Amino acid sequence: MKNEQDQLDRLLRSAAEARRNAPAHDDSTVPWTLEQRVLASLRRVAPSAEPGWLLPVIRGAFASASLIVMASAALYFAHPMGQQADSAAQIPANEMAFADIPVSQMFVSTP
Amino acid sequence: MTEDELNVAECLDRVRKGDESSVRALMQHLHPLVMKIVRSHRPRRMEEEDLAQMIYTKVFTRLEQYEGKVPFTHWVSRVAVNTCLSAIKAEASRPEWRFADLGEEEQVVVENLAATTDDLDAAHQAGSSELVTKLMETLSPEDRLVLQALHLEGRSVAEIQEMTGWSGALVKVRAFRARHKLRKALKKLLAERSP
Repeated sequence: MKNEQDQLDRLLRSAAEARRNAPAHDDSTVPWTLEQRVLASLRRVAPSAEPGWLLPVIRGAFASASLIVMASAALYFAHPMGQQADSAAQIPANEMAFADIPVSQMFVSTP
Repeated sequence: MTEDELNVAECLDRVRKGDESSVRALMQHLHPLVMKIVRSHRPRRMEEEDLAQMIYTKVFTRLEQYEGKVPFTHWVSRVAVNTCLSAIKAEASRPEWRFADLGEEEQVVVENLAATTDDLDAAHQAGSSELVTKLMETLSPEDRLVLQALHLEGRSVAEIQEMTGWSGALVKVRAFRARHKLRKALKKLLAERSP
Protein backbone atom coordinates (compact mmCIF):
# COMPACT_ATOMS: atom_id res chain seq x y z
CA MET A 1 0.00 0.00 0.00
CA LYS A 2 2.76 2.43 1.01
CA ASN A 3 4.69 1.40 -2.08
CA GLU A 4 1.66 2.06 -4.32
CA GLN A 5 1.16 5.47 -2.74
CA ASP A 6 4.83 6.23 -3.26
CA GLN A 7 4.63 5.25 -6.94
CA LEU A 8 1.63 7.49 -7.45
CA ASP A 9 3.32 10.40 -5.66
CA ARG A 10 6.41 10.07 -7.84
CA LEU A 11 4.29 9.97 -10.98
CA LEU A 12 2.29 13.04 -9.95
CA ARG A 13 5.46 14.96 -8.99
CA SER A 14 7.00 14.23 -12.38
CA ALA A 15 3.80 15.27 -14.22
CA ALA A 16 3.63 18.49 -12.19
CA GLU A 17 7.25 19.22 -13.05
CA ALA A 18 6.48 18.67 -16.75
CA ARG A 19 3.66 21.13 -16.44
CA ARG A 20 5.86 23.75 -14.82
CA ASN A 21 8.50 23.33 -17.54
CA ALA A 22 6.00 23.56 -20.37
CA PRO A 23 6.31 26.73 -22.50
CA ALA A 24 4.09 29.53 -21.22
CA HIS A 25 1.13 30.61 -23.33
CA ASP A 26 0.67 34.25 -24.17
CA ASP A 27 -2.83 35.08 -22.95
CA SER A 28 -2.26 38.83 -22.70
CA THR A 29 -4.53 39.56 -25.65
CA VAL A 30 -7.84 38.03 -26.63
CA PRO A 31 -7.64 36.53 -30.14
CA TRP A 32 -9.70 38.60 -32.58
CA THR A 33 -11.68 35.55 -33.75
CA LEU A 34 -12.69 34.66 -30.20
CA GLU A 35 -13.70 38.26 -29.46
CA GLN A 36 -15.87 38.41 -32.59
CA ARG A 37 -17.48 35.04 -31.86
CA VAL A 38 -18.40 36.12 -28.32
CA LEU A 39 -19.78 39.48 -29.50
CA ALA A 40 -21.82 37.75 -32.22
CA SER A 41 -23.31 35.27 -29.75
CA LEU A 42 -24.18 38.16 -27.39
CA ARG A 43 -25.88 40.06 -30.24
CA ARG A 44 -27.97 36.96 -30.99
CA VAL A 45 -29.27 36.71 -27.42
CA ALA A 46 -29.66 40.49 -26.91
CA PRO A 47 -33.22 41.91 -27.10
CA SER A 48 -34.20 43.25 -30.56
CA ALA A 49 -33.86 46.91 -31.48
CA GLU A 50 -37.65 47.61 -31.52
CA PRO A 51 -38.65 50.67 -29.49
CA GLY A 52 -39.57 49.71 -25.96
CA TRP A 53 -43.01 51.35 -26.04
CA LEU A 54 -44.26 49.42 -29.08
CA LEU A 55 -44.92 46.08 -27.40
CA PRO A 56 -47.17 47.45 -24.59
CA VAL A 57 -49.15 49.47 -27.16
CA ILE A 58 -49.71 46.37 -29.32
CA ARG A 59 -50.74 44.36 -26.27
CA GLY A 60 -53.15 47.13 -25.14
CA ALA A 61 -54.72 47.36 -28.57
CA PHE A 62 -55.26 43.63 -28.75
CA ALA A 63 -56.80 43.54 -25.25
CA SER A 64 -59.15 46.47 -26.09
CA ALA A 65 -60.27 44.82 -29.34
CA SER A 66 -60.99 41.55 -27.51
CA LEU A 67 -62.96 43.45 -24.85
CA ILE A 68 -65.07 45.23 -27.46
CA VAL A 69 -65.88 41.94 -29.25
CA MET A 70 -66.89 40.24 -25.99
CA ALA A 71 -68.98 43.22 -24.85
CA SER A 72 -70.80 43.32 -28.22
CA ALA A 73 -71.55 39.60 -28.03
CA ALA A 74 -72.81 39.92 -24.46
CA LEU A 75 -75.03 42.86 -25.36
CA TYR A 76 -76.45 41.03 -28.38
CA PHE A 77 -77.49 37.98 -26.38
CA ALA A 78 -78.53 39.80 -23.22
CA HIS A 79 -80.59 42.65 -24.66
CA PRO A 80 -84.13 41.75 -26.05
CA MET A 81 -83.83 44.48 -28.67
CA GLY A 82 -81.22 42.50 -30.46
CA GLN A 83 -83.43 39.46 -30.81
CA GLN A 84 -86.39 41.69 -31.78
CA ALA A 85 -84.33 43.18 -34.51
CA ASP A 86 -83.71 39.66 -35.79
CA SER A 87 -87.38 38.79 -35.78
CA ALA A 88 -88.15 42.09 -37.46
CA ALA A 89 -85.74 41.09 -40.15
CA GLN A 90 -87.96 38.11 -40.95
CA ILE A 91 -91.16 40.21 -41.22
CA PRO A 92 -90.83 41.00 -44.93
CA ALA A 93 -91.41 37.32 -45.73
CA ASN A 94 -94.52 37.31 -43.52
CA GLU A 95 -95.62 40.57 -44.99
CA MET A 96 -95.54 39.03 -48.42
CA ALA A 97 -97.56 36.12 -47.09
CA PHE A 98 -100.14 38.49 -45.62
CA ALA A 99 -100.13 40.48 -48.79
CA ASP A 100 -100.83 37.33 -50.75
CA ILE A 101 -103.84 36.36 -48.66
CA PRO A 102 -106.28 39.05 -49.76
CA VAL A 103 -105.20 38.63 -53.34
CA SER A 104 -105.79 34.89 -53.32
CA GLN A 105 -109.02 35.33 -51.36
CA MET A 106 -110.07 37.88 -53.89
CA PHE A 107 -109.47 35.38 -56.71
CA VAL A 108 -111.19 32.60 -54.75
CA SER A 109 -114.18 34.75 -53.84
CA THR A 110 -114.76 36.02 -57.36
CA PRO A 111 -117.24 33.82 -59.25
CA MET B 1 -4.73 44.17 -15.69
CA THR B 2 -5.88 44.14 -12.03
CA GLU B 3 -9.38 44.91 -10.77
CA ASP B 4 -8.07 48.34 -9.69
CA GLU B 5 -6.78 49.26 -13.13
CA LEU B 6 -10.11 48.31 -14.67
CA ASN B 7 -13.07 49.55 -12.69
CA VAL B 8 -14.99 46.29 -12.85
CA ALA B 9 -18.21 47.63 -11.30
CA GLU B 10 -18.46 50.49 -13.79
CA CYS B 11 -17.52 48.17 -16.63
CA LEU B 12 -20.24 45.70 -15.59
CA ASP B 13 -22.83 48.49 -15.59
CA ARG B 14 -21.88 49.46 -19.12
CA VAL B 15 -21.93 45.81 -20.24
CA ARG B 16 -25.45 45.45 -18.85
CA LYS B 17 -26.47 48.46 -20.98
CA GLY B 18 -25.10 46.67 -24.04
CA ASP B 19 -21.83 48.56 -24.50
CA GLU B 20 -19.63 46.33 -26.67
CA SER B 21 -16.37 48.18 -25.94
CA SER B 22 -16.86 47.34 -22.25
CA VAL B 23 -17.45 43.70 -23.17
CA ARG B 24 -14.09 43.79 -24.98
CA ALA B 25 -12.34 45.43 -22.02
CA LEU B 26 -13.76 42.89 -19.58
CA MET B 27 -12.80 39.97 -21.83
CA GLN B 28 -9.27 41.35 -22.00
CA HIS B 29 -9.22 41.56 -18.19
CA LEU B 30 -10.55 38.00 -17.72
CA HIS B 31 -8.68 36.27 -20.54
CA PRO B 32 -5.60 34.97 -18.63
CA LEU B 33 -7.82 33.53 -15.88
CA VAL B 34 -10.30 31.92 -18.28
CA MET B 35 -7.61 30.41 -20.49
CA LYS B 36 -5.76 28.97 -17.49
CA ILE B 37 -8.91 27.14 -16.40
CA VAL B 38 -9.73 26.07 -19.97
CA ARG B 39 -6.26 24.57 -20.51
CA SER B 40 -6.39 22.66 -17.22
CA HIS B 41 -9.91 21.29 -17.50
CA ARG B 42 -10.67 20.96 -21.20
CA PRO B 43 -12.23 17.78 -22.59
CA ARG B 44 -9.82 16.07 -24.98
CA ARG B 45 -11.98 16.50 -28.08
CA MET B 46 -12.94 20.13 -27.59
CA GLU B 47 -11.06 23.14 -28.92
CA GLU B 48 -9.81 25.69 -26.38
CA GLU B 49 -11.44 28.58 -28.21
CA ASP B 50 -14.84 26.84 -28.36
CA LEU B 51 -14.79 26.26 -24.62
CA ALA B 52 -13.62 29.82 -23.94
CA GLN B 53 -16.47 31.16 -26.08
CA MET B 54 -19.00 29.10 -24.09
CA ILE B 55 -17.60 30.51 -20.85
CA TYR B 56 -17.60 34.16 -21.98
CA THR B 57 -21.14 33.86 -23.37
CA LYS B 58 -22.35 32.37 -20.08
CA VAL B 59 -20.60 35.08 -18.07
CA PHE B 60 -22.06 37.95 -20.11
CA THR B 61 -25.59 36.55 -20.44
CA ARG B 62 -25.87 35.73 -16.74
CA LEU B 63 -24.46 38.95 -15.32
CA GLU B 64 -27.71 39.63 -13.45
CA GLN B 65 -26.91 36.56 -11.30
CA TYR B 66 -23.70 38.19 -10.04
CA GLU B 67 -24.63 39.85 -6.75
CA GLY B 68 -21.24 41.33 -5.94
CA LYS B 69 -20.78 39.32 -2.71
CA VAL B 70 -17.52 37.79 -3.95
CA PRO B 71 -14.86 39.33 -6.23
CA PHE B 72 -15.93 39.20 -9.87
CA THR B 73 -12.95 37.01 -10.84
CA HIS B 74 -14.01 34.36 -8.28
CA TRP B 75 -17.51 34.29 -9.76
CA VAL B 76 -16.08 34.00 -13.28
CA SER B 77 -13.78 31.15 -12.29
CA ARG B 78 -16.75 29.25 -10.84
CA VAL B 79 -18.70 29.74 -14.06
CA ALA B 80 -15.63 28.63 -16.04
CA VAL B 81 -15.04 25.53 -13.88
CA ASN B 82 -18.70 24.49 -14.05
CA THR B 83 -18.75 24.95 -17.83
CA CYS B 84 -15.64 22.78 -18.16
CA LEU B 85 -17.13 20.09 -15.90
CA SER B 86 -20.34 20.05 -17.96
CA ALA B 87 -18.31 19.78 -21.17
CA ILE B 88 -16.32 16.86 -19.77
CA LYS B 89 -19.53 15.15 -18.65
CA ALA B 90 -21.07 15.72 -22.08
CA GLU B 91 -18.11 13.99 -23.69
CA ALA B 92 -19.09 10.93 -21.62
CA SER B 93 -15.82 9.17 -22.27
CA ARG B 94 -14.20 7.23 -19.43
CA PRO B 95 -11.78 4.91 -21.16
CA GLU B 96 -10.16 2.07 -19.29
CA TRP B 97 -6.47 2.08 -20.18
CA ARG B 98 -4.46 -1.11 -20.42
CA PHE B 99 -0.69 -1.36 -20.41
CA ALA B 100 -0.70 -2.41 -24.09
CA ASP B 101 -2.70 0.72 -25.04
CA LEU B 102 -0.04 3.05 -23.65
CA GLY B 103 2.53 4.82 -25.78
CA GLU B 104 6.19 3.83 -25.65
CA GLU B 105 7.18 6.69 -23.33
CA GLU B 106 4.31 5.98 -20.97
CA GLN B 107 5.25 2.30 -20.80
CA VAL B 108 8.83 3.26 -19.90
CA VAL B 109 7.47 5.46 -17.09
CA VAL B 110 5.42 2.55 -15.70
CA GLU B 111 8.49 0.29 -15.88
CA ASN B 112 10.57 2.90 -14.07
CA LEU B 113 7.98 3.31 -11.31
CA ALA B 114 8.07 -0.43 -10.73
CA ALA B 115 11.84 -0.81 -10.93
CA THR B 116 13.10 2.01 -8.73
CA THR B 117 12.08 4.09 -5.75
CA ASP B 118 13.83 7.22 -7.05
CA ASP B 119 12.07 10.18 -8.54
CA LEU B 120 11.59 9.99 -12.30
CA ASP B 121 14.22 11.92 -14.20
CA ALA B 122 13.53 14.87 -16.48
CA ALA B 123 13.62 12.71 -19.61
CA HIS B 124 10.44 10.96 -18.49
CA GLN B 125 8.44 14.08 -17.67
CA ALA B 126 6.53 14.17 -20.96
CA GLY B 127 5.63 10.48 -20.62
CA SER B 128 4.53 10.85 -17.01
CA SER B 129 2.41 13.88 -17.90
CA GLU B 130 0.66 11.96 -20.67
CA LEU B 131 0.23 8.92 -18.41
CA VAL B 132 -1.34 11.04 -15.66
CA THR B 133 -3.69 12.62 -18.22
CA LYS B 134 -4.78 9.15 -19.36
CA LEU B 135 -5.25 7.87 -15.82
CA MET B 136 -7.27 10.96 -14.91
CA GLU B 137 -9.61 10.33 -17.83
CA THR B 138 -10.84 7.27 -15.93
CA LEU B 139 -12.04 9.52 -13.07
CA SER B 140 -15.20 11.59 -12.78
CA PRO B 141 -14.85 15.24 -13.90
CA GLU B 142 -15.02 16.47 -10.27
CA ASP B 143 -12.35 14.03 -9.08
CA ARG B 144 -10.18 14.97 -12.03
CA LEU B 145 -10.51 18.66 -11.25
CA VAL B 146 -9.54 18.25 -7.60
CA LEU B 147 -6.47 16.12 -8.31
CA GLN B 148 -5.33 18.35 -11.13
CA ALA B 149 -5.63 21.49 -9.03
CA LEU B 150 -4.04 19.97 -5.93
CA HIS B 151 -1.21 17.94 -7.40
CA LEU B 152 -0.47 19.36 -10.85
CA GLU B 153 -1.18 23.05 -10.35
CA GLY B 154 -0.12 23.10 -6.70
CA ARG B 155 -3.24 24.95 -5.52
CA SER B 156 -4.29 24.93 -1.88
CA VAL B 157 -7.62 23.60 -0.58
CA ALA B 158 -8.74 27.21 0.03
CA GLU B 159 -7.98 28.15 -3.57
CA ILE B 160 -9.99 25.17 -4.85
CA GLN B 161 -12.84 26.23 -2.57
CA GLU B 162 -12.78 29.71 -4.13
CA MET B 163 -12.62 28.30 -7.61
CA THR B 164 -15.41 25.74 -7.25
CA GLY B 165 -17.59 26.95 -4.39
CA TRP B 166 -17.26 23.53 -2.68
CA SER B 167 -16.66 23.27 1.08
CA GLY B 168 -13.19 22.47 2.41
CA ALA B 169 -14.36 19.09 3.69
CA LEU B 170 -15.81 18.18 0.30
CA VAL B 171 -12.57 19.10 -1.46
CA LYS B 172 -10.54 16.93 0.95
CA VAL B 173 -12.91 13.96 0.75
CA ARG B 174 -12.98 14.16 -3.06
CA ALA B 175 -9.19 14.38 -3.21
CA PHE B 176 -8.84 11.35 -0.92
CA ARG B 177 -11.25 9.23 -2.94
CA ALA B 178 -9.80 10.38 -6.27
CA ARG B 179 -6.26 9.51 -5.14
CA HIS B 180 -7.51 6.06 -4.11
CA LYS B 181 -9.07 5.50 -7.57
CA LEU B 182 -5.95 6.74 -9.34
CA ARG B 183 -3.76 4.46 -7.22
CA LYS B 184 -5.96 1.53 -8.15
CA ALA B 185 -5.75 2.36 -11.87
CA LEU B 186 -1.96 2.67 -11.68
CA LYS B 187 -1.71 -0.61 -9.76
CA LYS B 188 -3.63 -2.32 -12.55
CA LEU B 189 -1.20 -0.99 -15.16
CA LEU B 190 1.77 -2.11 -13.09
CA ALA B 191 0.30 -5.59 -12.78
CA GLU B 192 -0.33 -5.84 -16.52
CA ARG B 193 3.21 -5.00 -17.63
CA SER B 194 5.35 -7.90 -18.76
CA PRO B 195 7.56 -9.25 -15.94
